[in-house]
Amino acid sequence: MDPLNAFLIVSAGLFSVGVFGVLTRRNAVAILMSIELMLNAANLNLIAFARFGDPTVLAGQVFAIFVLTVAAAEAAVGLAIVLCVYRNIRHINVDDLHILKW
Amino acid sequence: MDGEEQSVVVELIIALVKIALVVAVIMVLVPFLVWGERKYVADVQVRIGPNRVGPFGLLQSLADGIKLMFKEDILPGHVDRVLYFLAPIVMMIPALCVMAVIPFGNQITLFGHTTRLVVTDLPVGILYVLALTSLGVYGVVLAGWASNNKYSLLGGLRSSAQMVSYELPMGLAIVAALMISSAKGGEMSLVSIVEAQKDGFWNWNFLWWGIGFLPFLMYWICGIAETNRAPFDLPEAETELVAGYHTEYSGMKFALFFLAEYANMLNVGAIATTLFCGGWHSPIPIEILPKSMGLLKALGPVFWFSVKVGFFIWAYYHLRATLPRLRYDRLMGFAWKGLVPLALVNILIVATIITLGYREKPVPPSTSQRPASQAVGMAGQPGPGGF
Amino acid sequence: MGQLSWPFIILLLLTIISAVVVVAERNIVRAAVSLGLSFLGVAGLYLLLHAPFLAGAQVLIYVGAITILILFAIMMTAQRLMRPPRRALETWILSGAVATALFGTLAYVIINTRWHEVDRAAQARPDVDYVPVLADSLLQTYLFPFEVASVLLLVALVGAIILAKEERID
Repeated sequence: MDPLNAFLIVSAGLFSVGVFGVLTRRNAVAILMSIELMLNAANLNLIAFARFGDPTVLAGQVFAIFVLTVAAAEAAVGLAIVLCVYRNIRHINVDDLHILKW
Repeated sequence: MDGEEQSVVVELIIALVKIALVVAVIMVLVPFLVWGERKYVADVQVRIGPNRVGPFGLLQSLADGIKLMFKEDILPGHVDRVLYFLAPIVMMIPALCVMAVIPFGNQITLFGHTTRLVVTDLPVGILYVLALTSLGVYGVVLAGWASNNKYSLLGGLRSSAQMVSYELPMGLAIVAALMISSAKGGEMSLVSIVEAQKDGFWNWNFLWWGIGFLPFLMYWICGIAETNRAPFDLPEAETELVAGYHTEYSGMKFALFFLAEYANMLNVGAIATTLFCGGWHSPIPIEILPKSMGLLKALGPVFWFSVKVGFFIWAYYHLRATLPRLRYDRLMGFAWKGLVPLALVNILIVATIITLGYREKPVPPSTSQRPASQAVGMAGQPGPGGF
Repeated sequence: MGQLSWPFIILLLLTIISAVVVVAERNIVRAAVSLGLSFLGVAGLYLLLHAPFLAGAQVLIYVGAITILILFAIMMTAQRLMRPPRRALETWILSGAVATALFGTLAYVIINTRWHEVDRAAQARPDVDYVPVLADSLLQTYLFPFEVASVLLLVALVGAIILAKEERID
């Protein structure tokens, strides 16, 4: 198998697992964890293309660094929101988070 | 082809010997470090300390170790079995792995093979160190959670917050050290950082323009906090939390926590030595010192390295003997309101000095030219299809 | 698949299996630890892709900071006595179907795409100046995004503090 394809398929698998997690988990923290998995899959793609694309340009890796930054910010804010929710209604089950509906 | 294969085998043997040597030295050293600490603290507190087992109580820690090893391995009924078992291991592995990139001596030639006294010289060495140090917190957090005990949980919570907070100024202090080092021609690999500090103690990074002292001190403070040692030993504050995260641990698992703590102390000392105090270089240039043959020539650097690390270990003891434990909010406030802004300002100052034209001679070509397979730091299989 | 080397296969298994554990394990602390393992596997894959700096950053940020943050949040919102109710079987089947279909589509597209052929010889270049090249592109070519990213981090820092701060009513 072509090495690039191998990495891309691993990345696709990781992304699908993340999608499955987002769909099935109901704990807000677990959903965040699944989202992190999907971000990792995207990063793996970027770095694989940086390796097997034009070797003189490291744009893929640079972009992956930005994704890392965004992921860190996202995790911090996301978990702060989770804490905030927990403080107000004492649970973080997203199925029961429907107070904004009415 | 035969000769090439043979040299690969020889390289492998050398690497294995170096790994075994480093691990063995840590394992043998730890009991004596514990003994030294107990003796020193006892001395400060006008006690005698361990004095029954062996001369001066030297074998006390060995006896303790044997006792721990033969104790019954108790598994409390209320713990999360998998994580309870995993935590001490997770604590130990990064502590040992960090040692792999620390250069503890110059090149030596033995049986016709020249080798550096470092297990592996990664081009991103300092990042490797930072990454592995950040893994150490897992052991504490998992132990605290798995024990299913409020004291352990509080200890785990405290430590996760503390270690993550102190990692930040630690990283910033290391950034300043890297900038200083790069102004002298060093790179991210620890060997090149040491090389950049040669020719006498006035070239060591912590004396750089009178400002290098600041990151050095900050690194040292954060190192103490990262290893959970007094006065930052909040995760196991015994007056508040029984024994913190390892309350429920006994026998060999407890011994692993203990080993990891002392291995981490050695790591922090070794990295402080490497980044700021010239690594294995002697305080006065080696040319002035008398030269002798092969092994002796290499022992000089190893000796200086040990002396410097020993100084940091002594500083650990002395701080523990003389300082009271911080209150928790003070501890966090110190990291976020004190160290982080200071580290940022420090980086600004260092950058200003470098931009204003401070440059020294470039790095010698021996360290900057490295074959690709070694540079990536894995079993080298170059070529696109061969990964 | 004969070309794939054993480090790749080991890392692949580590990454995917621990990712599956993340989404399937009901004990959320174990799931978080598994998430850390999965990130470590991805870092290993970065090493295979000749990106040691990214591998280090991955371990430092994802494994050492984000996962620890997640563990911290789990402990702050501990609900260990009330285990979550098992999800309805339909949800599992439906989500599994969606995820499998997604994977199938992606894999089909990946395998059937002719990627632009690049100079294979140039890829085997020595990585001697790897970190300096990365630094140059980060601080010269992509300087503006870099600065924006730093502003983003600052905003996230302030935002997280304001969100998580307890409002005291004295």
